[in-house]
Amino acid sequence: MNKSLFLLPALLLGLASVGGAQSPAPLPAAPLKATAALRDSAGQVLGSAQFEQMGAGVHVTVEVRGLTPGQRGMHLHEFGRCTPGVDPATNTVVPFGGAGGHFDPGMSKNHGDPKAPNLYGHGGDLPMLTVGADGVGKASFMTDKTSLTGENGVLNRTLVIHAQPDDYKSDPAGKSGARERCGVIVRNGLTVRDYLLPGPQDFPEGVAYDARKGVIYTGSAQNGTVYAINAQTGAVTKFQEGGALGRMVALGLKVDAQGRLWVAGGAQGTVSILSPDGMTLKVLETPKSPRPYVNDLVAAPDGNVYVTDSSRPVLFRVDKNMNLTAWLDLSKTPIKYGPGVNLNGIVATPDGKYLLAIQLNTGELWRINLKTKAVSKVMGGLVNGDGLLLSGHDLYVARNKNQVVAKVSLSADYGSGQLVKEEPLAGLRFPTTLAMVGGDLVVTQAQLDRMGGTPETPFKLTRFGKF
Amino acid sequence: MQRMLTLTAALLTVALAQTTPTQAPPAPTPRPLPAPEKPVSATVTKNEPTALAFTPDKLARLKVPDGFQISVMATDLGNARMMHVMSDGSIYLTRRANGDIWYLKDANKDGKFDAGERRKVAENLNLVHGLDVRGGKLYAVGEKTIWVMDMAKDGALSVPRVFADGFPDAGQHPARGLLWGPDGYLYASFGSTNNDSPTQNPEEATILRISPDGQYREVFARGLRHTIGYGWHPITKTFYGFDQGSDWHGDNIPPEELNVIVRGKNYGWPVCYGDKQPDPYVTTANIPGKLTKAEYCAATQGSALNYTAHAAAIMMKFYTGTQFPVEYRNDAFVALRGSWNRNEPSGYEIARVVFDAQNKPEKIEPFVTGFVYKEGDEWKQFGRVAGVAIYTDGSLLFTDDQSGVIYRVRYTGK
Repeated sequence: MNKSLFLLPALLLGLASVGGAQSPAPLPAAPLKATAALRDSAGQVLGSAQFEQMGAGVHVTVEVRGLTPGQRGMHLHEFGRCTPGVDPATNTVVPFGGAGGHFDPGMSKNHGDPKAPNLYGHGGDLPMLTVGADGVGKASFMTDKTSLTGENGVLNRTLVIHAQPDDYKSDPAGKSGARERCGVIVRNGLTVRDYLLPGPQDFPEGVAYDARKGVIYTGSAQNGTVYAINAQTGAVTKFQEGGALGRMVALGLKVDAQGRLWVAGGAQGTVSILSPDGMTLKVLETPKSPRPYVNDLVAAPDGNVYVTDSSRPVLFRVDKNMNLTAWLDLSKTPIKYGPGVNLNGIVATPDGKYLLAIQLNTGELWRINLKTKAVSKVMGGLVNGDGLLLSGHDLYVARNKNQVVAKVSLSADYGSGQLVKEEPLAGLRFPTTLAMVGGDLVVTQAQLDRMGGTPETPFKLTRFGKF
Repeated sequence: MQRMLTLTAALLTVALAQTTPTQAPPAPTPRPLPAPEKPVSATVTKNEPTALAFTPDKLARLKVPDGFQISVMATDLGNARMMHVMSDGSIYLTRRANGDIWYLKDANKDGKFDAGERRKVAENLNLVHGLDVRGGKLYAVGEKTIWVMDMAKDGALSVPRVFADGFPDAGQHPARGLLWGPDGYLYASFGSTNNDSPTQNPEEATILRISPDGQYREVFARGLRHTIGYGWHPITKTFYGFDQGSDWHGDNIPPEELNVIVRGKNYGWPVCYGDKQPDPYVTTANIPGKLTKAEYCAATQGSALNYTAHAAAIMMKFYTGTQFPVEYRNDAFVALRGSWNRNEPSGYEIARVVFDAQNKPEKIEPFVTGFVYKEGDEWKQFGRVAGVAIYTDGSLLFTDDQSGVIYRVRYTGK
């Protein structure tokens, strides 16, 4: 996974020629760079670390002062904050505990040596830092365990230097002791705007924008609560508390022409429609069996709303009279459902001819003819593609586990596409869906991979310029 | 590309700087493990005063403020719970344990609901409790269902139809509330199935707001363990509700709460009580995000007023009559059914919520007392008060669900 990601630029060229599209060639990726100002627990900056993307890996340079001489465990930690926080081993609050545990993109659940593949050791395990007699520790090394983009991306995570040497084996941190320095890894030359959510369990999956009100809606995949965010001020109000029948989960969201909010209900199998003041107007139910997973929806120019289900091979349609029907049996199309999350994000082309939908588990983008119901494959290579946003012939894809927003350039008939760029922005945590706000885009950082675990708060949505 | 992004971001930053964003409190930080707390002990007492049937000689034990008189309009009505008074003086009465609705009308105006003035008008309504009337129809709520019935002029009801369904199990708190709101939506309350831990069904321990056709609903407010009595202040239209605090946490924890109910808010149960106070006797393990209690409670709504723990508020009604002295107008009366896990019993009374000149709740004070008393070493009671209503003449009616009594409090100035 690691390597394939960083071969992407090469793959892109390949795809471009295969697709034969007339889109411009992919722009050369600017080298990604990031910096971490390393602080002591009093907040004083006593060093820094530089990160530069080098192929599939990242080159790290560290210089820190004021430490006692010797070898120090040094790791990349999962959360982008250098606040006090809980050390689970003692259930006490310790300096820099807010940085969480070691970054572990391979889900190895194992502390290992800095050369171990990520499946066998934390991706964040780095070589020890040697501090000289002058109290200064310097290091300069390459690691291909982490990156500044993709699944192993460490933007907006933390570099932590410990008080003791690292034995490169003991869980959870090689007996490296207290955390003495911490720095958040901040991308150079890029700032984005974050909209912060107030709750500890918000897991914002869906996003939609009502331009007339200037309000961004987002909803919780955990409890269904929907928030309204003032796009200008960032002020957040609760649009509707989740939890009622049909409103226990909120996934894909869309605002319709009447200012009503449509909510995909996930495993409830429902589509809910909320009034512009946030009261439930309607809860449409899909058949209760087999296991529903209503994931995303879109209003097409024909006035119908089309709904994806990620576990049942069917496209639902809600007509103008609010009748929900199974519109297209996908098992009779080239779209083959398999284990995991299947059809997910969906958009309609403005010419009213097509739907485009992404299949998350296979990474295939599909075009569905609204008139003939003919289905054709646009492109592949977009595994973990979740939410879609279509702007002209540019398709933006939130690739959740890959921690990037991808940009795809589509042909005039939307029948083929090529990957143009993948943006980690300032570091994304499981980005799921996108909305257009003014000329900008907003992406949710849903952290769905942390449901049932410990998410990083505040949950946020991130606004950025089109790229 | 990179530069474009940076430029946009810079513009955004400028835009941000020019406005003054509202700063919400930062989101609390979920913890990997439940927050540790030191052991705490509670002294708890199960004390159910000996139940005595109502007999007329006991009426003399009841105390009302000077100028008020108390009388009995009916006895032996069974599990008499909630009342709804019609403009002609007739009354619909729910009997939860009996699962039926009665129609009472003092046709001969003798101040009593005689045997011939009582009629069962609906039955087989499991745990029927709260009721309200709108547009010539009677709405009533039971354990998991809201029914609607057409009303005939003689008080008869049509066969109940299901208006809304699929509400949570009742468990420990089967007394559902129901009231049409000033906004045209139906407000129904569904208490927690248990005493003091988070519930699995997110519609539990809530007030739900239901669309006028009964088809759809939202969680209007949550963290309400058992709010049965609620209503809108006649002048300010502020939404008030009484909530019953948890059992078995000691004589004074947690207090009963009068809350201002605001859409989308969490009133803290089971973790917090009163003015966002963490309850020391609740486990930290089940708090969403494993937050500390202090963090969790900071994001909840505190109460407007508190009252003696375990008093068990049931129905609350604003006084909209004119019979009582003017200082009572737009105050609220609440039935406090009485404690069973407090050393010195609390409740067993009708209390008055006094609102000040600005129509803000100022204090809660006893109004009708004397149902509970100590003889020798033994506590005794002869009334578990539940329903409260304003009669057509402006007198106050309330029920005792133990002996099936309807009491009437009149102001005579004597």
